[in-house]
Amino acid sequence: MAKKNYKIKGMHCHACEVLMERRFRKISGVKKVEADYATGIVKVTYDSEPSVLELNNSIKDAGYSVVIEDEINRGSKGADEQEKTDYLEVVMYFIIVLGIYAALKPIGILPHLSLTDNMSYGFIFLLGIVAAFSTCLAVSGGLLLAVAAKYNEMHSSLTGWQKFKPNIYFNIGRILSYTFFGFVIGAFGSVLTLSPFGSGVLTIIVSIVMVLLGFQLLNLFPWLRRFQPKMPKFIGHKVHDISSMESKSAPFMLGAGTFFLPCGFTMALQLYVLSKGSAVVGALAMLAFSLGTLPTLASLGVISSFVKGSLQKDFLKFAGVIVILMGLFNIISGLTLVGLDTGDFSTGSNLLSTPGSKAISSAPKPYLKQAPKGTANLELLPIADGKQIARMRVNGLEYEPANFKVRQGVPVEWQVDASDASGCAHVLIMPKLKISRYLSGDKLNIITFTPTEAGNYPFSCSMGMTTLGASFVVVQDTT
Amino acid sequence: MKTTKFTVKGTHCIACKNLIEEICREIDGIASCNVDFKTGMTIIEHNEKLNLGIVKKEIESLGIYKVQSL
Repeated sequence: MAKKNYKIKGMHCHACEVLMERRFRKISGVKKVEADYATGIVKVTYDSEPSVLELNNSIKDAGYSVVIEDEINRGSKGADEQEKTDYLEVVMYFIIVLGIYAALKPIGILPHLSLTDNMSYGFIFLLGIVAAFSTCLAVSGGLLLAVAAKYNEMHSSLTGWQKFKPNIYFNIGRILSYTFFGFVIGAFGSVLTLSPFGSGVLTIIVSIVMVLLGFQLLNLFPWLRRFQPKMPKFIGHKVHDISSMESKSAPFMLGAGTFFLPCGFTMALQLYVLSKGSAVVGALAMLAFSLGTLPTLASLGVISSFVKGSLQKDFLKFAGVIVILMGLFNIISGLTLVGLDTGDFSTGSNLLSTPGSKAISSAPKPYLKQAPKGTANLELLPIADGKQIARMRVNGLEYEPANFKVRQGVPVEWQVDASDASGCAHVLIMPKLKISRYLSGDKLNIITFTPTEAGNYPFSCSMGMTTLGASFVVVQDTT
Repeated sequence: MKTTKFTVKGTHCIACKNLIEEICREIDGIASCNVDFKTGMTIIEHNEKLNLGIVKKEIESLGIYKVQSL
């Protein structure tokens, strides 16, 4: 008796395992079969070795195939080397993606399109096109990419067109929901927009899902696959329906749900529509915007659906790396929105700490004497007419200056010039004081608040993408 | 020939459908079997003598599914 391992393409659950075992056992000469869908390996014990063709023929009608190149013998050196090159490859992809990002960043792919108070729908459409290349893509596109890539991996036998179909439903769902909610927000006000905290929590959840999906795509941790089918059946059923996009409604709902995903541009537009207070303007503005994002999202779908062979394998790996990086990046933004002081992140020391350590990082630090890093030498703002005037410019995604020191109990007049702000920087939030404001590019924006407690009050754009560590430091008036 | 409908809980993909259909077809007395994996709805055509308990046992012996309303 001898043993041999075969790599099988297409297995993704327990039912697949059983199916493999049953089919192979029927082949003459085969004694014992053990399948493991997490690794994709089927161990075959036999008297007389079955041919790969025989094995393949027995399973191909159900959509599986024996991977010939990757045929590995158990315990042999070959298998070990195979694993190692895989990891090396993944590291290589990470380096390439980070390299591309680093190379593009200084050029500034993001044109400084500014939101103004009276925008034409054509302009909003353009805004959508730009948005799809930037912050929006980080969440909506990343999610679409992750789910689509996962789906294609699981159903690699489908034709390109079949794979592309769910993308159509996704985009229809998106456009309809944008238009609908644009209408609702225009008509009824802010009932439907999420608070910064809510979208922060949502960002974190979505990001974690993205990172997990990314790891699965890269097959870095085979045990991660077990997360999927081991969920309670009633949840598993639903989650699977959505993530596998088997039905028309699942991708449709997923697309519709992207309205609530934190995208800097969407948020800015939501607040813009809110200020207009008109259902028709709201619906049309959102429709124009979602149509603008369509070309990019649709082409993502085309690429992920129609690439084939080794190119497809490369694409899945790239998608995995990009999805993981976007996910990690978004988690940091999400934490900012929830109100975590990201000034800590800028030092880098807390990057790896868990959210559970939040309590520690926001606790008073006696050794810092009230002033967090970078704010120690700040001058107190002057008082005029009983108000403390804080002047700030938003340049792209940077706040100038980004730190202010004010007295407790004295009203602060925050004058914000957003004429050069881009994307999500048009929304300014300060979670601690529940401030969430749309910054007009046409006129000086004035926000007033009175800090009643001493401490550090971080602020950022609605995506947490602006200057890290930007904050008001409130101190007790000792003079 | 008789037609019987029942629900299999726990089906979620094409593999489940293939697997259950394959198992049913191997049972003596069952002529055809069709599973809708989204709802778990399973329809079998079988002769009068078939012991439906065997069908339930065979499907549940996989340890993945539960047969209901049979």
